[in-house]
Amino acid sequence: MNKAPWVFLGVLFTLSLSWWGMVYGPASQLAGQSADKGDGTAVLPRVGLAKQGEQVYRENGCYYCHTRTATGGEFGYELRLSQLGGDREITDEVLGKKVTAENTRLINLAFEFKYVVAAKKALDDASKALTDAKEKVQELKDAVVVAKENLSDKTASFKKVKADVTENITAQDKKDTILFEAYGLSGVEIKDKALMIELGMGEQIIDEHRKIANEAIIKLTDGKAQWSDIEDMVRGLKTRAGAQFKLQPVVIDWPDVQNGVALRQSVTRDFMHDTYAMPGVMRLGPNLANAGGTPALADSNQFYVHLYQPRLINEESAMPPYRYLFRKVKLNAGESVPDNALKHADLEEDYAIIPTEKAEALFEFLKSLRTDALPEAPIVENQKPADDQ
Amino acid sequence: MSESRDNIASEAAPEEINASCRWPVMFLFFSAALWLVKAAIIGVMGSAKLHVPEFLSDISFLTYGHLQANAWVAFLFGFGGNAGLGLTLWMLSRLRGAPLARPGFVIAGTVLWNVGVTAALVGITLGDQNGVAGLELPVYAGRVLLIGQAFIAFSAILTYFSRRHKQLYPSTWYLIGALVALPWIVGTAHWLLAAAPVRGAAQIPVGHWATTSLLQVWLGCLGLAAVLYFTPKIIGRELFSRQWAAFGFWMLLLLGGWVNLNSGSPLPVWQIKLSQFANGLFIFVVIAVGWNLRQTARGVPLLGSENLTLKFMGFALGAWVVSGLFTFCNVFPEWNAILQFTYANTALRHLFAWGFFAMAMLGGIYYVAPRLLGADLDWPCGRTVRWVYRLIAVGVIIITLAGVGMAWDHGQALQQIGVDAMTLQTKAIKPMRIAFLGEILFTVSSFIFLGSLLCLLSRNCCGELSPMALWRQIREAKMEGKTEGGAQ
Amino acid sequence: MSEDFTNLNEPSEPRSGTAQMPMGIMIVLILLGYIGCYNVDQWNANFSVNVHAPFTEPDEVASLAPSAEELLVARGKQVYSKNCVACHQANGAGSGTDIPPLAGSEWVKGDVATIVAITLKGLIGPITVAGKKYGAGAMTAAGETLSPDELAAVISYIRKEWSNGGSAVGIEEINDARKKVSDSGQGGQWEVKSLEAAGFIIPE
Repeated sequence: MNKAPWVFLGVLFTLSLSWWGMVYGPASQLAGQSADKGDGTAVLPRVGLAKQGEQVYRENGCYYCHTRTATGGEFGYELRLSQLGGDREITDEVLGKKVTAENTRLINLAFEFKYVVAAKKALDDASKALTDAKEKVQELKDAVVVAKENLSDKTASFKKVKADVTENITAQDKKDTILFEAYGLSGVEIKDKALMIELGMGEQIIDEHRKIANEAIIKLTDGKAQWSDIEDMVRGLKTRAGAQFKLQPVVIDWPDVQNGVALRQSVTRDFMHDTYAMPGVMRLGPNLANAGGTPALADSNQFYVHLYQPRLINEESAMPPYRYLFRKVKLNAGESVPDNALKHADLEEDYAIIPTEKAEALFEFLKSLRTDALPEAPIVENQKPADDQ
Repeated sequence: MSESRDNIASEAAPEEINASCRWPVMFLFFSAALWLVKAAIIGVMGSAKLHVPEFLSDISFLTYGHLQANAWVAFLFGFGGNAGLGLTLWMLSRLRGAPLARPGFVIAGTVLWNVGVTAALVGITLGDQNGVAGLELPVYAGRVLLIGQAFIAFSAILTYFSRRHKQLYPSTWYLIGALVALPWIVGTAHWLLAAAPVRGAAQIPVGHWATTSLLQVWLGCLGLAAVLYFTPKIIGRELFSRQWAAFGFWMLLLLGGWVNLNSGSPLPVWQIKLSQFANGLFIFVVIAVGWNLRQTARGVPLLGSENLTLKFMGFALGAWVVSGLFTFCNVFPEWNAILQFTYANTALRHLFAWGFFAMAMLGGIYYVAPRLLGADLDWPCGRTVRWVYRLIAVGVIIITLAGVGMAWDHGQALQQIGVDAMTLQTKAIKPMRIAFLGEILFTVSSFIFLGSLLCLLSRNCCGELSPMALWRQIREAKMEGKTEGGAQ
Repeated sequence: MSEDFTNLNEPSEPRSGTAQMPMGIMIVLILLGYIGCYNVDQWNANFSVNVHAPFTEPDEVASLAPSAEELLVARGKQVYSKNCVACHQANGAGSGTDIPPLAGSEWVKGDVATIVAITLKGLIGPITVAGKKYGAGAMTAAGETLSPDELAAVISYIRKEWSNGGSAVGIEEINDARKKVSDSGQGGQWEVKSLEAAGFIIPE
């Protein structure tokens, strides 16, 4: 390393590597990120006052003492199966032995249900074909016979499983609902009253029962399962068994969620439309990741009084007052207080304190900070709400 | 290497080099001392605002945000840039054995540079800071700084390529690293964060790279160049190993911009992993530099030395190693998760900026400034300069120990469930109260340094007419009067 | 100002020594570098932009995303709020004596073809919904401009929302129903009678 030009070039090269890894790579990747949420909506940019509020937030350096990032934590998965796929063998294989006895019974019942309905449909089809096609009468008659036999087989099998299930279920209310849960899980729609009666489901599915059917889920895991435990099962359910399920993260030890700071962790798309991304430096004041979703911002007067003089709201607050974001107007005798003036018992009586546009913009900006669900960051279920503590 | 001696002009005498550097480098040093005072004062005001919320609260341009940004810009570009570039020019000339090329460019560059820093401070005060904590340069200020640095770098690069000295001493690598890194980093920050900002979330990694590179690569290279140069020079040994130095240098350049990304940043996991990877490997930079210098100074107590420059360098090295170890600790996400949103990051930045960088620069200036000005190598008030060292050392130790320790407590409270807001606030403010003490010490020491530099200048420019000389004459006259009186 | 620089009193410029880095440290470095790279390789989540801690894999994040049915219903909500909300209200309660509710309506929950037919062509009252008679309010052919996808989405939405408890509707069912409507040759809006005459199932 005694050749001056080589050292120079080496420095350029090494710095470019560093630059590539932390600047070019991430920036090009994040610049191409789509705003589409996949459900016909998109992550929207701030507009109007809220957008101006971003500048107020920056100008006043709010980002030094307030972060806008909720971090991740420890969690587990609750795997909620809401509809079974078509193939029983694959489903059994995918689920393996990880399912409780009770859930296994429910799954069995649902499959039996499916088969009965399928068998009935085959019978109907065959009968219809029979009336339509006269030349193949005999052939179709046979088919009808076969289908009839099949249906009675399936019905018998279903009744057997049903009897087994109802025997093993002791709670009466559960006994009543289990049939409808199986109906929901099977994912079939029965349009045949006679079959409903035959299967013991009453003449019509009344609304409440329809609801049970639609909301039926099987909790395959208990909210403690880690991804590595269940990834094979999830992949199998999704790609091979064709089942419908929801993977719900449940808090185990996730301070930001348990303390009500946010509903999920912050992700890149929370910042995608910011002119200046300000994730924050220190948590001297509260984290604002979900400021717009907290009750603190529900009342604008409360917020403005706090901004004007934090110690009017909380005596020990260490936040500096932002009086220069307000206009102080002397009220003449008899003049009424303007509607938008701050209301607080300890404010001087002869004056009206009116928020400037900057204060209003800041309020709108903070209202826009939310941790709503995104496809890559669903809302985490919090088992222990903070106020229980 | 068979470079025939004939191709290379003979090395210039140190005296000739000193003379060539005299005014340009002194100009840079003096600006640095002035900015240091400003940075320290603004820093103290900002620090006060954190725990005395009503302090100056009705003035919109004196919020904590403005003061904090101003203090850092004044330190980084005002002090760091001026002192760093000054020492760069002097060390490059000395190590290449060539007089400083084109000193006129340096003077012009320094004027521009200082205009740039001033513009930055005014801009931030008016609300033009760009929202990236740690690099708040407004657009226009960044441009002026880049042009100013180009002028100075022109002179430095010409000196660098003059090749009178056969061996490229490791410090020159670091200096070239710093010279190239600054425009690169400021340019990146300027284009991608201010002039044509990349989309929201992408600013987070870009801003992180820029702020961290400025610290670890730019300030790091400048400070380490000084430490690597002055330590062996004053001890009178050769640097232990060129190989170790090279290893540390390349690793620092590669990893410097990647380290210390908060594990809770709202970024895809791979970016956080990459930073974690860099944190882990950073231990090699620490080992390479630390071991090399330890072996070089084996048996010589740097901090206990009589030589003040050596003390400065010793402390700088120590602070750098400690800061590097903290960086390494970030390889453990559990550790980082606790400290990430607390005062610890600021405390560690102080450790790096004041404990390492300022110490190395002040030590360098302490050594170089008298040599530029004349034959008298002692500072006019030698004892007081020692207080610069002592006060900064104490301040840094207070801020690091108390800042990180109490921030740890705060961070743990943030990780618990159901801790009420006021308890959190108390825990958050505690380290800042203590750090305030440290900042006051910094301010005092920066004043002492500026005063000492003024005394040095006045002694060498005004000779017997300088206030110092006059004061000494008066005191000597008094003492003589006394001893005469005593003898009678 | 003194021009005398002879007394510099300093050692010569430092030079760097030739001590070698021990082989051991190289091995440790390679080892740690390997572990580091392995670690990054394991946990980089394929450098996906969508995976944020504490999630670890693109597959995992893809599984977290709402199911096709949830997306369909969410999309239906968008379509509803653009095309239907003015008359039927956001809470599906309808208004007055002319516009029947969708919430709890047996027409909505019942046969898919019927509700699709009404949505496609519109309907002129009177009509009985949830045991209550609604007058001569005329519904426009609101669904005619919708694509089959949008129609499936909005029908699924109204069937599942407001505790209606209906099932989501697939694109095939929509296409079947559309065919049935076009086969019936209906030009303008339906009446309940003409609907029945065209063979659509009328809820009791």
